[in-house]
Parts: sequence; structure tokens; C-alpha cells
Amino acid sequence: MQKTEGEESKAENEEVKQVTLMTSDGVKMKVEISIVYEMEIVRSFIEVNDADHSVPFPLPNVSSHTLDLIIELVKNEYDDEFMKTFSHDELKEVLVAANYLNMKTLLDFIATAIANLLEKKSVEFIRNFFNIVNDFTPEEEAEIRKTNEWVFQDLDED
Amino acid sequence: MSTVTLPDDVIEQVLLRSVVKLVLRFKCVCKSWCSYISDSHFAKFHFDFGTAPTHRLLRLNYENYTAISLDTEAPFFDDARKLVYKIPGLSNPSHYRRKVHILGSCRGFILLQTNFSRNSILFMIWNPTTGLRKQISYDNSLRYSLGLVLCGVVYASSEDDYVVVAVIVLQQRIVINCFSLRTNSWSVYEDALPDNYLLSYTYFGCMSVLLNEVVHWLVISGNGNRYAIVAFDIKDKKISYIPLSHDLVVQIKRFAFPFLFPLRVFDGCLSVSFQSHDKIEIWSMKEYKVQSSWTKTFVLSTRPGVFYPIFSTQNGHVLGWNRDEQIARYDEKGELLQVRRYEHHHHNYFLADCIVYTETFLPFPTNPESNQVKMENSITPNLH
Repeated sequence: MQKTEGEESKAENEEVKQVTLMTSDGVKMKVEISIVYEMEIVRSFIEVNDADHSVPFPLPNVSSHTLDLIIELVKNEYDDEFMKTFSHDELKEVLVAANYLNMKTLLDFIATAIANLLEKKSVEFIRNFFNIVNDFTPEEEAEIRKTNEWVFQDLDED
Repeated sequence: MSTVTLPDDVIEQVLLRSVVKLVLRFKCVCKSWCSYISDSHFAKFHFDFGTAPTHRLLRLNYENYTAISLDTEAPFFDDARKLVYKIPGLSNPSHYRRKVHILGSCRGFILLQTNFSRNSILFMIWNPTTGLRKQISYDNSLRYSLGLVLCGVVYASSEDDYVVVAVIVLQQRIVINCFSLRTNSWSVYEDALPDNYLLSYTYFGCMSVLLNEVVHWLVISGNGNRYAIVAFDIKDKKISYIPLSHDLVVQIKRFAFPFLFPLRVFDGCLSVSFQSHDKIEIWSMKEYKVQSSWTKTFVLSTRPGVFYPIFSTQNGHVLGWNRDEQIARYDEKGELLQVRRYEHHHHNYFLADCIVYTETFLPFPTNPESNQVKMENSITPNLH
């Protein structure tokens, strides 16, 4: 009995193959189910609810542009060269989306890429990258720099 | 200026995948990240779940009281990855002639030992990455003068404690002295001496090797006929003995003594390496405590000269020092890839004065009743 059910649902999936996602800017995008299945947040919903795939699944935190980038990254099997064409904002948007969608492989890939990008960057560069406001007084910051001087040495020029 | 602001839990995902050098720089970004990274929970979280560990090879240079530290994965010409530290406790010129030994390493901390006198030992547990360190004195002239002493450091996860271990072999029994950094005190355990097995052994090298929560030492009998690994398990505070394989002992006896090198870990396995007349062999115990699993894993032709293998890198290369005081890197087939001389060493500590450690910014365990841990690099409290 279970086997028959499994085959039925498999046949249904093969027929559908795509899931419609509704992005934050109101764009409906049809996405291959193999890619959607990497998004744990969507996958768990589809699996539990046996959802009608024609009704768009809302992604209120992901823009259509970011979703495009994610789809291309997954299709290209997380290609470094493609990722290197991203702007800083695009990198961060993909990172936030990967975290929200609970895409483990993508999150690991993009967070590692950002960690590598920042590895030899100055504190000022890091603040700019993450949009963080420096709330130290110059004296406080100098004090911290003094405790671990080596971590501020041999960095790239901004 | 960028327009996208990230939630903290997303930035944390980046920090978890960052090397320690970047994480420590991140403390300077703003107050909230400074206090978050300075918290001991984050240091442990980064050590346990971080994906970018940096392994470093540290070597002492007694001529100028420094230690050179090299990133094991970086090419030797990349001087940006080279660090030089002052050897703690050796800054006073009167200490100059005092011997310092590296005894072991554990979660970024290195255990050093100096002898003040015949009857007194001074230990130093030191994290080169953060400068965090603590001196521990051990003064028990009776026990020390009578027996073989094996020292090391181990992390006891159940107590979240670092323990300095000094195993002393007496004529009738084994005394195990354990210093807990959490309680800041010594405890003494005893174990029976099985069949006088250890009694005739000499202490070979100073190096202890940590695997899981067990400290290991390679010991050899005075006449070079018997070899064993002594193991101390911090969980049950018991000593056990791990024999080498028959084939390995035959090889060592045939060629090696005295060119048997201290015990090391290669590719996650306890390993013994030795020099025959024209080659280096590394033998690894593939399955822990399984005598038949000792396997020859690496052969290197070194004609002529000596090469002391210390570490295997992620891509299977073997790093070590040669007799000309150069660091050398060989590929898995034994081909020389790189060689470099860093300092002018002219001393006889060829075998024992280098170790591999992991970069960490872990704190010492805290004991509310004692406040004796020296925090050289603690963050000033007014930042929080």
C-alpha cells in the first residue's frame, strides 16, 4: 500500500517539477523542485501540507533579484567565479536569504566566502561591509588594539 | 557605505567560518561585538563548531628567547603568516641558561616546563595566540628524584577543566599528580605498577601526545630492547599500556635507535617515526589500541641527512625539520616540495622543541574562589 502511495506522489512530483514562489517585491517565480528542496523552510511546508504547488509560496524576506542569484548559484553548483561577480550588498542579501530559507549548503558556501573576503581586511573595511557604527571612543579602540596587536598586522590596503 | 544591515545571528554565521585572527579583529568593530566575542561561550562555540581552524607549528629559539610560529597550511615564503613570540618566563636574562621543554599542547595551549633545580619543576601553560598564561609550580623532591616523570596537559570535558599531569613511576607503584586549572590545586592518584613493566624504562623525549582525552608518552627501556606507549585517561584517572607492533619493533631495532623520534599524531592516529640509514618511516596505529593495526604510512628518502617529521597537513603533505635546521615539506610520495631556514639555530634540541597547536582564544576555567589566573590580554571592563 505504502509503495503505491509513494509512487503516486513521485509521479505527481515529476508532473509538477516546479514550485511557484512569491518574492518580497511581488514577483511570482517558478523554481525547479530540486532547488526548492534545498530550502528547508519551503520543503518542510510542502512535505507536511501536501501543498498545491500552483499557489505561490510567499517569501516575504527574499527579493526576486536575490532569488535569481540563489537559483543561479545552485544551478552552477556553487561556482566561485560566479560568486565573485556579486556586489557586497548582493553577497549579504544572499547570506541573509540562505539563513532565512535554511539552505545549509548555500549558507556554508556564502558565509565562508564572506569570511575569506574579510580575512585580511581592516576594521574600517569590516564596519563598512556590515554597516556597523563604531561606538568606541578612540581611547577605548586603541586599548583593544593594544591587546592583540598581531591581528591588525599584515592586512590588505583598503 | 553599504546599505544592507545584517542581523547578529547572520554575522555570527560568518564569524564561525572565520580564522581566529579575523574574529579577534572583529572585537574592534563595535562594543556589542566586542563583548559578545569576549564571552567565554563564544570562544568555546567557535572552537567546537568553527570551520576554519588554523594549525601552527611552534619552535623555540633559545638564543633570543623567542618562539617562531608558522601556519602549517601556508607556503614557507608567506612571511605574513609567520609570527614570533617571546617565550614566557624567559624574559629575565638570568633565566637564559635554563632549559625549557615543550611537553604538549591542548586546545591552543602549550605546556612548557623549566627546572629551577633538581627538585623543583615549574610549568607554564600558555596560549601564544592570546598571550593567556599561567605558572604552576610542582615541588616534591622525594617523588621527583626517585622516578621516571611523564608530563602532559589534557582537557577534561566533563569538568570543563585543563589538567596538567605528572606521572611518576616508583618502585612499587605509579603516582599520578594532576593540577586542575579550575580548582587551582594538585590532586594525587595512585595506580599499581603492572609487572615492573615500566621500571626499567627511560623517559624518551619530553613530548606528550593528546588524543581525545588521553595523554600518551613513548617510553623505551634503557637497553633499547623494549618499547611501549604509556597512556593516561583523564576520565577514569587510569594508566594503560599500548604496545607497538612486532614488525615495527623489529624495524626500529634493526635501524633506528637512537634516531627514533618522539611520538606524534599523523592523520588522527598515534604515530612513531624513525630514521634508518637512508630513509624516514612513519608508522601509524590506524585503530586505537589495536596492536595489529600498526601500519607503515609514509616512507621518505633522505639521503643523506636527518628529517624529523612533525605534522601532516590537510592535503597529506608532511612537515618537519631537517638536520640543517631547515623546515621542509614533502608530498605524500616523499618528494621534497619546499625547504626554508628561518633562524640560525645552533643548539641540540633538534627533537623536542617544536609542537603543533591550534589557534584558539579559549579562556581558562574560572573558579569563583580563586582569582589567580593571569589575564595578560583581558579586555578592559569599562567597554561593556
